Amino acid sequence: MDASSSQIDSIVALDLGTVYTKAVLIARVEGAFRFIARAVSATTAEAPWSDVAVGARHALEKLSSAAGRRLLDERGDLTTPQQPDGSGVDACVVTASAGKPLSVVLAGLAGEWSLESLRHAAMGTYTTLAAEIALSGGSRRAGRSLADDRIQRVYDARPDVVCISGGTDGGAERPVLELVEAAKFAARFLEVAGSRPRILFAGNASLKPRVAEIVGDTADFLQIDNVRPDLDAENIGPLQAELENLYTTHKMGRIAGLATIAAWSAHPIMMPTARAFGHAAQYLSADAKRTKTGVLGVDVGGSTTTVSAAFGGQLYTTLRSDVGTSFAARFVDEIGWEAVARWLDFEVSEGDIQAFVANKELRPGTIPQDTAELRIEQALAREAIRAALRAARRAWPRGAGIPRFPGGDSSVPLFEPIIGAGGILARAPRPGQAVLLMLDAIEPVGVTTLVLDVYGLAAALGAAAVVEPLAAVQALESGGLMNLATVVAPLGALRTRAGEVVMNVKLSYASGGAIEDDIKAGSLSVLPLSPGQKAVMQLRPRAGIDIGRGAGRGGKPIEITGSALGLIVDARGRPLGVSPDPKRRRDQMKSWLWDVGA
Amino acid sequence: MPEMTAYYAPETRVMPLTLIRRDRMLPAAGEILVGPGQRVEASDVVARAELGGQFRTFEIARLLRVPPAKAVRYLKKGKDDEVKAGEVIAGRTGLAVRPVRSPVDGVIVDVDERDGRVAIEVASRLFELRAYVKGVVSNVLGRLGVVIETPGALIQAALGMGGESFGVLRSVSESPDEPLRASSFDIRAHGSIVVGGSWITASALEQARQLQLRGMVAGSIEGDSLEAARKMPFPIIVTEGVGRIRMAAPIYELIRAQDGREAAINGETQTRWGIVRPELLIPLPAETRPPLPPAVGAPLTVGARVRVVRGPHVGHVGTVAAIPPRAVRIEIGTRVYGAEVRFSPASTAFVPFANLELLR
Repeated sequence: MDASSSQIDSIVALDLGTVYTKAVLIARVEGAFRFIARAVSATTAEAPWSDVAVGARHALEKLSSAAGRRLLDERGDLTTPQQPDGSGVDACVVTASAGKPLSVVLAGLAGEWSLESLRHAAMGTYTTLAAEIALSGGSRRAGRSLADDRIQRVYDARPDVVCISGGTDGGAERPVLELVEAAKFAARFLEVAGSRPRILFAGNASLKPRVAEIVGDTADFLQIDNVRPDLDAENIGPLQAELENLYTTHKMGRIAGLATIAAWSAHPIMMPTARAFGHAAQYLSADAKRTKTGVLGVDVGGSTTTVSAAFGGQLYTTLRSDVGTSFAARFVDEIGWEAVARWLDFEVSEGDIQAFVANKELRPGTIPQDTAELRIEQALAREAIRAALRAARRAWPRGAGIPRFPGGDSSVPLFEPIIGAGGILARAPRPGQAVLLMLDAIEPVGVTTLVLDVYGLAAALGAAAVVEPLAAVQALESGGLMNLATVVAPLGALRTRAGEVVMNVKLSYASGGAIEDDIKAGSLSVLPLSPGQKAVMQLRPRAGIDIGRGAGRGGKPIEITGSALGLIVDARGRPLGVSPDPKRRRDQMKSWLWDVGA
Repeated sequence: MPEMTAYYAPETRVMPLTLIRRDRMLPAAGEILVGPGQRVEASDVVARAELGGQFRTFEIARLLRVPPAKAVRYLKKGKDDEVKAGEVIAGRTGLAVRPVRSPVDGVIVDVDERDGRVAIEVASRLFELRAYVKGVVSNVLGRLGVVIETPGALIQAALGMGGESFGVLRSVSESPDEPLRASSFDIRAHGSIVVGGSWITASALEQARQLQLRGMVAGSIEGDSLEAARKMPFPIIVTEGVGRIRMAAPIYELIRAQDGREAAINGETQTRWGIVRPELLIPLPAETRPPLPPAVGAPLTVGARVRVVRGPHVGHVGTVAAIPPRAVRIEIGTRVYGAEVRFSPASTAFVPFANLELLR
């Protein structure tokens, strides 16, 4: 039996992260796929092991033990297909984020147009920005001409890829060709120095023949659709796909030991973790029931934070490949240590934060043992998600197709559900911590559901759907994701009306009885609704308060199901107001933590 | 969920005597100055190479006002020719067009006949590769480098700053708990590698700069001092991490026992995509060839020597006394697998596996 067969009864999904390797087993039980077990081990991509198969075997050994099912043969290889005695599995899918990101130089005419579109495309996969060259605003260095300066900057960056854009179709020519010439010379010099960057041209389509002539056979070269065919249109999909393809073949494909893992399966399925995670969000958004909202997934990994937003089946993925919970020193330099400290309910110094992030980078697999360290890690995750979301929002298309909060800030899309993934969320000791982290970082609006990818299933199932689409559907529906809370987050003048009752909420339980609460502006209120329970929620916002149905309108009662926390009404306002006074801010954090039982 | 199987911890090498082998590589192919079997001192230059990487381009066609395809015929120099600053590289004799002169010393590395453009790589600088560690050349790696071997002590640190250096070790702390302060060392430390116990203070950094130390070794460094430490003109390595963490006792004792010996120190640190760990190497005389460091990948077992790298016992070294079969709840409320670690006959604590490393 192989992965292309329709008779797949069991799948192992391996996710090779920068810090951890996760193994998940899903199998058909009584006709439907179910999550069976998961296991985690350290990733062994780096010295002294330098072989990811070692960590994968460690994880599979644990998975065997957890599932009570022999998965490895006597040579330590995964047994495929599943054997008559129940050992082994039918298919193995692999997702990876352990590869070094693709190093890119982006060159465009103007920072706010072509370069901005290049940034959006580059952030769609695992990339690091080695240099940016804008034709406008360049400056000479060390007595060089501007042209030589561009060449030198590309050369010094030693990128894997140079992406060039500029000019709408039929627009600017000469300046775009100057960028191409600079890239060509740099590529030629770099080849002598032992590297051979690719040149991707995604600019003025009418220049394609001349660009091809200039580059000639100097470098591996590909022409792609213009990322900015006209000033009002952005078309980053083709460039994004090519960059992901390059990452998959040239970075992920070269992870030491990946070939060993690939050989375990007759038809190995391998894809970047971010894409697989996006597939899960895309799948959920394609569901007919969710046409009025988007689906949002945020995955905070050790070295990358991923935001996947899907609107009506259309996926937008944005990565910050330079920030995760383990590798964040440069990110903290970027945002300032105070941005992390503001989420803490105790006093810290710059040195404390610097020490924390430095030590975490040195030992990325370590875990917090005391509350203070846990809080700092969670604070860092808040900022990582906020930074990734800021980048993602810039890349989301404007206009039709994106469900917006009616009457509210047009930049805030409506999402249902919002999926949280990554160790910092999944391993939060209390569900309230994961909920508060997501609320603070994402600032959802309207009525939504927070779900937690507690087993790391989303990416696994996103990849597994390639070999067995039913597996994703059934495993997700059978409790693969943990329901954290139903959230009501109204908009309105909440910060100026602090303490004033702005909404009444009534929960009528299906099992009988009801509770009712007057919600005060600035508060975070929890109304219990345990997993398995059902209730009807009736919202009565006061004048000027909008829950997505127009100011002061509560709309029809909504049936909701129970979750770890129940119903949360987040009346703290948007954007979230954090006090500038350190003492008041710490009290504010204490109060919020208390409110959600964190 | 029964997840208890073998655990494979990260490893740190702290070895009183092993066979140290270091590849000494040029950044580009060059000249190797030593041969196999040759004894070298740390300061000896073992290889050298010319390093370039700076370019100038000239649009000959535009500058001479000729069509691009014809520019090449006016070139006075060809590919791979050396040029001096001010030297004519292209010109049209007899016409009122100024010749094109090179503004720099260099080599013509590219002539684009179609564009009529010439590229010069600016004259390179000489890069000299030193042995770094006193020993014997065991291998020559073509024109790229050599391998140097020596018996000695090997200490892998947690974090380092700066590049390579070598010098005489000078232990200045009375215990692994004692911070490294300005008052800990004086002019007698000039030109040496100063070894402290616990954390490096800001005042010690300034004192070290003035005394022109060759390197600093301590248990830790405070987060506030990281930026200043990165600007020091010599390497700094800390064995435990950032904060106020005392040096692990076995490391402290090992280094202290070799006080006065010459050592090599490398502060280069890379935490992913090709991990590089900072290190202290102390070449030692040995009658017989000691073994290489052991292979990695042994599971954590009872009796193993471990170091705590995070949490309340950070920096403490002990032995694994027991491995509980079930997950244990820790302060933050999570249940985790780990080991009972004995730090002394009277002191044992549960430490999550994730916060342990093997010390070998």
